[in-house]
Amino acid sequence: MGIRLRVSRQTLDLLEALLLHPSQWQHGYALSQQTGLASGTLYPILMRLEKSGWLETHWEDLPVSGRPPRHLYRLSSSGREWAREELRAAQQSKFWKPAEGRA
Amino acid sequence: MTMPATPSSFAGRIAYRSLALALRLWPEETREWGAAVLAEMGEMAEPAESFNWAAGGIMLFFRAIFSRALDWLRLPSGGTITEGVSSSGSKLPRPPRWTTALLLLGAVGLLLLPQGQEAVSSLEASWRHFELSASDHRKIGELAVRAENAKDAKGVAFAALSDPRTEQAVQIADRAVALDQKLVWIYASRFQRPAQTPLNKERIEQLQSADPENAFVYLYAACVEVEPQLQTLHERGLKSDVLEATLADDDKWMELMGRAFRAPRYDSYYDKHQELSREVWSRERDLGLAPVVYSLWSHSMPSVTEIVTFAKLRIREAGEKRAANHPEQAEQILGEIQSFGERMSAGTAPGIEKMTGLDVARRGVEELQKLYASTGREAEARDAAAELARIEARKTQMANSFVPVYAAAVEPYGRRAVFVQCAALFGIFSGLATLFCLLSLELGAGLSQQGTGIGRRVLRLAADYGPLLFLVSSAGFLLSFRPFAGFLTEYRAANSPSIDPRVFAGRLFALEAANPLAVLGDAYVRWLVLTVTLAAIATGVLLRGILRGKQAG
Repeated sequence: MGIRLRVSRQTLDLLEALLLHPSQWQHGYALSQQTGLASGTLYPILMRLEKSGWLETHWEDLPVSGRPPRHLYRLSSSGREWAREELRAAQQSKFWKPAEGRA
Repeated sequence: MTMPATPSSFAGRIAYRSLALALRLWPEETREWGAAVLAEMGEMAEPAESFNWAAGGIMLFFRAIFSRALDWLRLPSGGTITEGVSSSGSKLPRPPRWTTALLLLGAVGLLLLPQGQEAVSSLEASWRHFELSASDHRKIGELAVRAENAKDAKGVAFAALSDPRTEQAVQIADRAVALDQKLVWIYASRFQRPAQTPLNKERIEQLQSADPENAFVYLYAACVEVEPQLQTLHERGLKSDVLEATLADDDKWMELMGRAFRAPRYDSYYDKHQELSREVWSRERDLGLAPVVYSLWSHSMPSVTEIVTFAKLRIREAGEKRAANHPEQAEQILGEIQSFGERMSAGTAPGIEKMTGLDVARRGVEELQKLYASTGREAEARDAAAELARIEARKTQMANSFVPVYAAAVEPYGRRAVFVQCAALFGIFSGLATLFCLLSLELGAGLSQQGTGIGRRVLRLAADYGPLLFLVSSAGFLLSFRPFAGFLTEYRAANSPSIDPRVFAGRLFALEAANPLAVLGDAYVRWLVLTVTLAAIATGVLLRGILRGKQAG
């Protein structure tokens, strides 16, 4: 967890989406729809968050019939604290605005 | 991980299959993420959305490949991402692959520089005793075609002078002369012996009419005239009295030699040949050293035997005139001999021609002195004696002065050539050893990683530090070749003073003679090396067996 993560606007958008229902597992497509990030941008951020220890991942245990198991994501407890801190700092420095503020 | 259902649309199916294929090739450590992207594809209803999602997945795949390649480059040779790295078994750190790659690229880059290419090709030519390789033949042929298309008569002439295939060379020479009539001298510069050259009467007459005052063209024509007879005499064992009689009976030869002795000028075209080679070589650097050396070393020389024989025949004729009480005619003949010798020994002709000229002049003056003494012309006899002394002094001075000049100009190159050859051999050895060790580690990576024996340790050490040695030896080779590169550059420079052909040849012979591998050309040495190698292997196997037996006991 000692890795310093470069926090881009896209990362902040994703963190905001993950913090919306922090204890709930979410899949990549849903996150993509929420944040408007393309898969080529979304997954590298997810990979970095996981490597840093801020993100928990797991595969669906019970797949819905006719659909394969999907990879699910949520912030770890330390990840949540870190994400809130980063979002606050970014908002204060006017580097980033929450989705509602942008609308 | 089960595979998701394929999208129903055609574009979606294409995108899905592309991503599924990428997943098969996905690096192990991040493949789960590829599967995660693929698993979402069943959720998309729109074909365009499926396509964009898969494109993002493919992008992720390339990022994973790139990242894996970077990780791989950060490991030392033989190291794998999954299995990690074992130590080299020594205290020395193991350099990463990117360092190895940079060192190898640096070494190869040095050798690919124009200076490096010249050094390598010159060294290789010296190993072939400056004989032309298949590549040289090709380059000469290409030069002939290119130069002819560009109407570059000198380029075509150079190709004619350096092409060893005689029939073809004569045709190329014809094309050069057709482009520039002034280059007709090239006929006499290379195509001396009819056995080697189908140089016909027409070309010889063309040469004579282009340069009618030059003794060399008549000497050349006389040589061509008498060559078949001399060839037969040589085969039967040449005797000087038979030779003299044969040549004296050949009226055409006698006439041509007479014209040569009376011609007001002597030029064997060596300077022209050298100048042409310099000019063409300076703009056709890719040609390399071998064609230039071949061209200059095969330059025609006049036949010393024929010149001396003709001088002797004329001296005999002068004696007969004297005996017939025509001393003025005898004097004229001997004067002609002296003048020809002096013309031949003057100017910038190569040393052998100058020495021949002095010898002919000496013969003429010697007979003149006898003639004057026997006819009571004491003052002229004294002048002839003084002239004789002057000729002898010139001969001595020529012979003696060249030795220190040659020594000063060539001997340092002998020592330098040893450095060049040693650096080259060290470079080749280190390059091949490095290549072998790297391939052994990379192709048998798993095996090498597990091994801890001395062989494996040596393999790793050589793969890790061999590239540095290769770079150092390549740089050393280039540095050691610098004196030769400087000499060749000086030779090519149009305004440089003419380099004595013996010095030119001497420096190149020094490079050739310093080749330590030349001893392998000796069958005895080859057998010796083979025997010692096999004996060493047998001893090694025996010792290993004994040691293992003791350990087992």
